[in-house]
Amino acid sequence: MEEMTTLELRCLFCKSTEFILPDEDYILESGDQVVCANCGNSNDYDSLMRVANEKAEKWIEEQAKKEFEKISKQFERMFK
Amino acid sequence: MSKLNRDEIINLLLVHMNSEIESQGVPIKNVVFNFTTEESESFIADNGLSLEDIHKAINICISRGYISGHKYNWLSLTTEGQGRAISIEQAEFKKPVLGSTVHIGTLNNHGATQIGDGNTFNFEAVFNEIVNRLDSAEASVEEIKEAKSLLGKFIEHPVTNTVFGASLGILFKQLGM
Repeated sequence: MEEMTTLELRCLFCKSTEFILPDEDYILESGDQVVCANCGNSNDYDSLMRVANEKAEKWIEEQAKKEFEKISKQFERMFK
Repeated sequence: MSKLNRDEIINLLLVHMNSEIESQGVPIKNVVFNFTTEESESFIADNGLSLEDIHKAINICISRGYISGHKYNWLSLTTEGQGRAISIEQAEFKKPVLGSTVHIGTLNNHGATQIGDGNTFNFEAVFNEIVNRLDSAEASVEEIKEAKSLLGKFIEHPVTNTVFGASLGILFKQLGM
């Protein structure tokens, strides 16, 4: 099972991961709009996070399934 | 053929679908759309579009992940599609974050992020407490081991393991299995 993965926020229009921000350490807040550096479209930050969260949930589910299958096999061997 | 370009038609389509969903107050997966005839969705005529325009836009949206489902009468909006629709609507009245200087880079999440809804963190906390109490119980090593084994069998049961779902791996680790 993988313990960690990295999810990138991608522009909802062109899938780019580059955005225009006032400075490198700028912290976005709920309700903010952020401009894509590639296509210039304005992205709703909350929507970007929702899409990323959905991907994270799918990834967690896959890892849990793999782990459960592994443990099930171990138990099968133990109780044979 | 409509005078609008391809992206404008896609935007119109996604905004229309999202508006319909939000007006009904239900999750995006609960609403399906039918674009098989011009009469099936009035917005086609209202925006001077043809069925051909809409079908081309739908094909693009399906391949990009904005829409899912069966062409063209059982279609749903995806989270990405809804995100684009919301971004388009918000852009009309909300200014994006920009400063006098410009930095181009990736976005990093600086705070804690809740993943999922109604997840089973509570189960893990409870089992963590049970395992800790077993470890510190006044009993022999063999008795503690037996108690943990019985707990493991309880989690493993087909009925209970569907309750614990994705937390199963973590719970087994806590029991040292």
